[in-house]
Amino acid sequence: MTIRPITPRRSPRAPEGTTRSLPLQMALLRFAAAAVRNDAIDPVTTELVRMRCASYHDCHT
Amino acid sequence: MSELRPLAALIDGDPLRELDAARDAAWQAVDVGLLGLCGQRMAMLLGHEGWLEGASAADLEALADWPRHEGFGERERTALALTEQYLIDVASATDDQVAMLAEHLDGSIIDFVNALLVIEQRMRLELGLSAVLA
Repeated sequence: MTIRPITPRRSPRAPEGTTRSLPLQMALLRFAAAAVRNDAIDPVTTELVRMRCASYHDCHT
Repeated sequence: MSELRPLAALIDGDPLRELDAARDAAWQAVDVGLLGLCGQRMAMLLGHEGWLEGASAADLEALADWPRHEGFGERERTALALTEQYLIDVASATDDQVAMLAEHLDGSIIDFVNALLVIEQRMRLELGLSAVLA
């Protein structure tokens, strides 16, 4: 049985040798985590907004 | 124990404070001049006047005409092209657009795009809050 991915795979665009700033990566992770933990908005609205943003940004997570 | 430290750092914090930290990290991770230029273009397109304070009318006129204005080199043009694509429809950015800019950024294309993300988030948040709460 072949399991097809839900979304098509994309080819990597960053060339070899590309580096990442660890402080920036960590800062973005902390921001994302803090935003997800924010419970000021109800879960359904939060999920609707998250999915809309993911669709707009072509985010496959 | 040491493996848990990066995760522990994610447990605490509020979104706005972390967004400020991401802003600070973004400006330290990339070419400030190039990011500032692309930030100004974002501000022009989004109508974020606060970001454009201090810029001369001549500079803004040149930036509005960046594809043709002789004041911009290939590096600036490729960065501005990707910035506009990112802002208007990021999902449609092409491999060529990314590859062309990557050639000019000496291995920092990911940091540059992350920095664009941070700037865009702040601008849209400020514009959104000012519109909703005005």
